[in-house]
Amino acid sequence: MITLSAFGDEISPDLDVQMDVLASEGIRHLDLRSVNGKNVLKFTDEEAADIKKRLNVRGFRVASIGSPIGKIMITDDFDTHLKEFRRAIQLAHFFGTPYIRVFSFYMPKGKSPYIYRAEVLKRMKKLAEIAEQEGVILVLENDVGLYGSSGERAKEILNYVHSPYLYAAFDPANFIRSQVNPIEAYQLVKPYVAYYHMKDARFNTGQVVPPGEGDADLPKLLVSIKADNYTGFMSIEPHLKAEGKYAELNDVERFKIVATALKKLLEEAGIQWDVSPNPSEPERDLPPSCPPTDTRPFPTWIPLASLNKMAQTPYDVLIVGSGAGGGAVLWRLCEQLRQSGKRIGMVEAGDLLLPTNARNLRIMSGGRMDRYFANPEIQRPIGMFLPEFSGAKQVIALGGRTLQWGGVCPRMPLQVLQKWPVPMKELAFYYNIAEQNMNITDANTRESLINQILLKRLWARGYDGAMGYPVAFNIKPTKYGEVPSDAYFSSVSFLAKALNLRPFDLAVNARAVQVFIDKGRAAGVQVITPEQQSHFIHAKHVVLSAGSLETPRLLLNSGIRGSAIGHYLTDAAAVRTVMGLNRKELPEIMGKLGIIIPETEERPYQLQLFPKEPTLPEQMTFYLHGYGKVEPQFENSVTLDSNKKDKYGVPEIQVHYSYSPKDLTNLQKMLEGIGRVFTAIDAFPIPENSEPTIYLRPPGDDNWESGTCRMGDDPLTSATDRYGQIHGIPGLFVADNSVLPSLGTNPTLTTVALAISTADYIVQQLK
Amino acid sequence: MFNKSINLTKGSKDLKMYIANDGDTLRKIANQNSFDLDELISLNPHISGTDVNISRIQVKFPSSNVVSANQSNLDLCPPPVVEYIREWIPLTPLEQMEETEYDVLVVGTGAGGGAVLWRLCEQWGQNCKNIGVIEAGNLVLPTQARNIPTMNSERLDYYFRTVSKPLTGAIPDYPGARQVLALGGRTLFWNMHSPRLNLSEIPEWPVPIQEMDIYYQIAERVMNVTKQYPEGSSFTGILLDRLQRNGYPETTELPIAANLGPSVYGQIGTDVYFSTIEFLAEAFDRRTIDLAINTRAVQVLTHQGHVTGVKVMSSNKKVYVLKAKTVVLSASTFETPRLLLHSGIQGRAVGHFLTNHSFIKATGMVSRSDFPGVLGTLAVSVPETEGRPYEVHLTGPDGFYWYQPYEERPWTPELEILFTCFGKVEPRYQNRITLDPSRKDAYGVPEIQVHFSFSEQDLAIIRRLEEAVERLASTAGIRLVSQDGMPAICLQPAGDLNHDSGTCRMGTDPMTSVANTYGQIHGVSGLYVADNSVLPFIGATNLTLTTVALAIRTADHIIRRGGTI
Repeated sequence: MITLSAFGDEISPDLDVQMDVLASEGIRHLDLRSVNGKNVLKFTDEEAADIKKRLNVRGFRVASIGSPIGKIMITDDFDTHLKEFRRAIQLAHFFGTPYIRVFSFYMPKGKSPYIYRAEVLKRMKKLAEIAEQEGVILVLENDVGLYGSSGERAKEILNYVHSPYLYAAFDPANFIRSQVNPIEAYQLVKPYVAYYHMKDARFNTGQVVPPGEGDADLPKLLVSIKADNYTGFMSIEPHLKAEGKYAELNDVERFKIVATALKKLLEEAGIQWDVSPNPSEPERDLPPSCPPTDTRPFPTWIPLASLNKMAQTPYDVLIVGSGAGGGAVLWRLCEQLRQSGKRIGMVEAGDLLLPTNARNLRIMSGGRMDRYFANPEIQRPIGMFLPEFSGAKQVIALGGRTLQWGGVCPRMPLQVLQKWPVPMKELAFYYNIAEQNMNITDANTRESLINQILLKRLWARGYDGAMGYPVAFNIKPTKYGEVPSDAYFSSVSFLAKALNLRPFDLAVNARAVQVFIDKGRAAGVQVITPEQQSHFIHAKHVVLSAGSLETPRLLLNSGIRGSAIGHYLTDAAAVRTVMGLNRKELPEIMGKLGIIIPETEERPYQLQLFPKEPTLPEQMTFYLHGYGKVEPQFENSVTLDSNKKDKYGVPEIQVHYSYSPKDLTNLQKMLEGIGRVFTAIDAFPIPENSEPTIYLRPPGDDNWESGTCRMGDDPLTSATDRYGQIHGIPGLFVADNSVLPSLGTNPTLTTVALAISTADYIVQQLK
Repeated sequence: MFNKSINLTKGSKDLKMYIANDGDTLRKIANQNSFDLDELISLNPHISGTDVNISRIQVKFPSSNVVSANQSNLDLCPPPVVEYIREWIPLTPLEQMEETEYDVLVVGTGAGGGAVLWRLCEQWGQNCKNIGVIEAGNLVLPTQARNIPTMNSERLDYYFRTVSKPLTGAIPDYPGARQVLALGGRTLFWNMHSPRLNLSEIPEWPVPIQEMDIYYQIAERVMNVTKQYPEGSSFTGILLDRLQRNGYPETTELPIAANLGPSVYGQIGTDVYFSTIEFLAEAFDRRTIDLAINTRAVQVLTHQGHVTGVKVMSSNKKVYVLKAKTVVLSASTFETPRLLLHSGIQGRAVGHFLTNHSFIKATGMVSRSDFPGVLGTLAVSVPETEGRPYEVHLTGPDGFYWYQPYEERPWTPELEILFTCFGKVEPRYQNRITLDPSRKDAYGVPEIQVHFSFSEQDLAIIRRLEEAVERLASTAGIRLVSQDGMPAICLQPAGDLNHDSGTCRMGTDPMTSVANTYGQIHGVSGLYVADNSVLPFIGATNLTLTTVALAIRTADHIIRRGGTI
């Protein structure tokens, strides 16, 4: 059974008259081309809604959008035409039809169509690609003067595009008017036909006549259609001129002649068509169709901007790097500049890797997280090339190393902060903001019995500063619709917060290679993609958050020198050992172990205890990590190695790093201290391989590296001022571990606090 | 061990170099770095005075006060010994998989395939069986999309509509259908509503109800199905009460597959919302599995009524033959029968009886002031019962039915409620998928064509459903509203709901079913189906839980048979 439809606008411009006539013919499907003389693509939303309502009330459906898409000269501009095409798609969705009638472009007179073949094929393919994205089906009508007015060329288009979103709307009369035998053309395009416009015409005059009266041999065509069990639409498009024997008839009468003629042919061919029920009983009892949901392309889990667009946007602030520092600056700027209209951008050298801290993912259990980050393409063991800093590693990806961060977040010890250029009161304020926004809590360790037991033992032996360590970890259950699945904090959490506050532009795979200074101020950043495309992004304020190795590298490569840039590289002299406790002396339910023994004036080191899985039945095993204090030294530095360049043309770094005698004394004190802690908590050493060992971790292995753009008041011994601004270059800031002037504990919380302060300072400047 | 001394004697003799800045002089450098000025002068004979500006000149530093890092006599940490993985889940190359004869090979990683895999691994532990799984799609997300911090309901919808693709061959009868080709399939996006089927309404159900009860319990446990999601919310409490007291006593909290408890610090992996990635994680935790992605099954291979393996193609169209004693097809309601038909495994019912629910949406409004105290979230279900061949879910408020803590939920005087209504559709032979030999995909497999229409009875239910929504809304004190071009009550296009099922339905009669009651294809030993396509009836209820329950049962059946035949 086929379904009859009609171009109702040939009956009357008035939709009600159209529907009256169609209903009397038992036809309930309209090929929507125009109403009241207005083309379908020109309908306003209100007009479309009105038409849809009137159709619904009387039980009419739209069979296709009879659009004129493709009825422009092939030499006309295509981009503006695509906008009209998008409108046709909107309307198709709105009227609930998948079909849009399209054409194959007019050929300039006197020119061979083959000159335009490539352009036609390109355009048709583009239309079909958009149709595929949007879930609509294009039916290509043949007509006079178009590229596809011959059977061969119509077939060529359909073959070339070869998409289930582009079919043929076969019109025998239009082939005749193009002096093409429709039966021959039909043989060529038959596999692609999904729609018929059933009209007939004469070869000699080109005149359109009622079906069966012309040269199209419709009975033969209908035999073939029946044999194929065709079940789609067959459209009535009279095109009968008011001349000759039809001169006296009105549009309605001529339509009826054509409809009657087609039905007669269908009857003769034995093809059934659906007969809609009596128009006095419209099927109004089904609910109306839902309009299509508004949608837009969103191919990644975080919205990305194109670098082409970013290169044309003058940014108020551009952040380079998306680790803890960059993420914190972005969030704070978005929070403070919500309605301001200021433009904020971020570029990240790496790609999207994980949409959350790996520790939040069930799939990362069973040791898979360690195996994942052991992949040198994910966590680059850059220390392999840095003999004096052999433990260094980088995660070049959105979120950086926070993607696997354990979240331990103590504040810097007071005796360290007292020597910093930022007033303590101000630091306390920013620590509070950072702690609140990173969900920092010690609830996990405070309620843990094992912690309570061990802390009691430590406190009794004089370790009065020992405490359960605070972590950036959301401990809330899912309640009232709020889903804290992102429990372990990462920089992606900052980006998510920012995203819900206001728009910003983010580009990944955008490696910053040079910072530009104009008239003594920051002016922008040059970035290069892995495909070696270079873009210049203008910005009034540039914040470098590329890490303690990359930020000085970028500055030095940009010719921005200062006596401290790249110097004072600091981490901790880190050691690791494994301890055990007798399981029988501990309660059944222990909770999570997590203890920190902070650095003090007398104890130039920090110790951390945390569990080692799996615990054996007889003993509870745990790691002790020690972090010996390393004094910032000018000689410990990141320099450029101009002999070696990366694929972006930027010199690789070399690192000079060694421990001073004082650092080694601190390390010695720490080893003795570890022995006392063993005694204090009744622990025994556990052989990790064959013998009990305290291992020294290679420099850089602790991810604490910092100081290479340290902040300070004196430009001779510091790279930035107390707000993170590079000395002497307004608009150029650093916000990552490299600004920390010295270390006394895990750096991330402090870096975030300072980054928020830097963001606030920039906000002040923007006002 | 704690008394190791640090060796300070082997000071490094490496000289340190420094590039002087503008304004630097040797004296200044010596002062800044506490160097002996004389030593500095002797080390730098190329510099002619102590007070000259030596900008950009190399300066050698004394080295006696530095010791390189490895000069302590502590052992350096041994490098970690782990075999790294390239992606967030271990993958096996097809070249290697081709060398193995699998005891069980699973095709597809959606709800059905994931459940079979999980159960096999849970029951078999680390035995010597070989288990393989192939997935046509790529790695898209490592967890349910709602677990991702950057998502909200609008972005999730855009993301789903971008990642999923319209089902080829769905138009014109079934225009709403979409496919997600990815590890985890549609469970990456599903809304996790997990009610049981009302089997008392389905007398023809092919599996004994007591046995279904056991498998429902297992499925609910492993998927963390809970009714606690809206706990403590006055929004749910008050509306639930109004409905229960006024003619809808069966009204209940919506069961949702989500782990609602707080995450535990130190524990890796606390996905809240369930996807089959969790099944895969548990499976990999228990034993080795060979998994290949971007691997398209193109033909099931059989010999004398036994399955022998699957012919697959990689994304670069290279063909591999994977040998298997048992094959489980979990490729979806569309792809599983397509694969069977293309493999020449015919049967009167293969591809037929395509069933889905009719799907009506309605929008309602209530006043915030009706809900004192903690508003919370709304998750209520009016289930299918005798004489009520439909199910209605009430969820809200709009945009904040679920949300990440990074979004601030605003206070609004009016609350929008979404009615999601499923009408029962009778399984009919003529609703089906067929192969269209004239159109082939990039792997040379014919595309499908979907043939689907509502019967008079289905249409009658849709009409009743519209009235039912009006009645329900008025009972609950909810105003139905039309806004933003959206009618108050409207019918979604057929196929839009991911409740497609039935094309390889279970049953005992090969004339009206494709698989036996354990999911084994009639007449082909070792070949099973475990996805929505096996469901012979779906009432008016979400089907994923039932598909998972049956898939676990199929896995148990395979285990009982030793993984062979």
